Amino acid sequence: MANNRTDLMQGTLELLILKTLARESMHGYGIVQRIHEHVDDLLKVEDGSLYPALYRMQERGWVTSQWGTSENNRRAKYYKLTRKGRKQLDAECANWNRISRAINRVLQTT
Amino acid sequence: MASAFARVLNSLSRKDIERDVDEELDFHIGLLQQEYIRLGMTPEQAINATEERFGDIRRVRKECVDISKRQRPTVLLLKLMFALIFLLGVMVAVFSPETHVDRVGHLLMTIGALSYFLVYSRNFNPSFFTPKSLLLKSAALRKSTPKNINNDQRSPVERLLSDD
Repeated sequence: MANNRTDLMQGTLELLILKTLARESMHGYGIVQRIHEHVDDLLKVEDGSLYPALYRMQERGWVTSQWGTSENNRRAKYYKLTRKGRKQLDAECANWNRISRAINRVLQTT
Repeated sequence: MASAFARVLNSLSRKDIERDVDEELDFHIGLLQQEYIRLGMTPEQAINATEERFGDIRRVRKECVDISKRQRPTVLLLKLMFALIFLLGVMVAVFSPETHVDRVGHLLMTIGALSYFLVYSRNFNPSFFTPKSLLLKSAALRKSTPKNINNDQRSPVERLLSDD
């Protein structure tokens, strides 16, 4: 099973994070759990890779963070999508659709 | 001089950045380990499984600390201040009517440029300005830390970092 898992393409993790945060603010563990649920072992996502991506996204102003209390009463950092992040999500979704359409077209013709 | 300067910088930002990053990673790793133990693994197995799923924690921690430091308002303010000192030096050197005032301009330019470089290079290599005594102390602590996780008071991040 592990051999069937594909490495994430460059920049895709950010798209997954943006999409996950579009519904509600979450802490890092919650984000990665949600991603694992959805990709269902098809993609290889190392939990640790999430944090540098989140920090870079915060630097770019796509997300903000705030310390809060988690469901198990521990201090946790919650991330929330900003307006700029929502625009970025729309742009990245459109870009992803364009790329996948283009690749599909090539695969169907050759 | 450099170490005194570094101490001022450290007191402004480094410790609380590292503490925040550690706390955040600690939360994640702790939950992962609990989850594995809940699924029936021994603590030892849970640590190994967590390491495998999380990836290289040293690299993650370093990247997060480096990115956080870039966005730190105190670091940005210091950079701005040293850039202004440099510019002031240039202005004094260019517009000074006399030689001794001109020297003050050069002095300001040197101070501004060197200080800016110190702040800049510190962002690339956090341990560059860490006093040697602190590095030795942390190495000694690491050596003396028990590897047995039973009765272990260390946080999950500390455990992963020290179990080489």
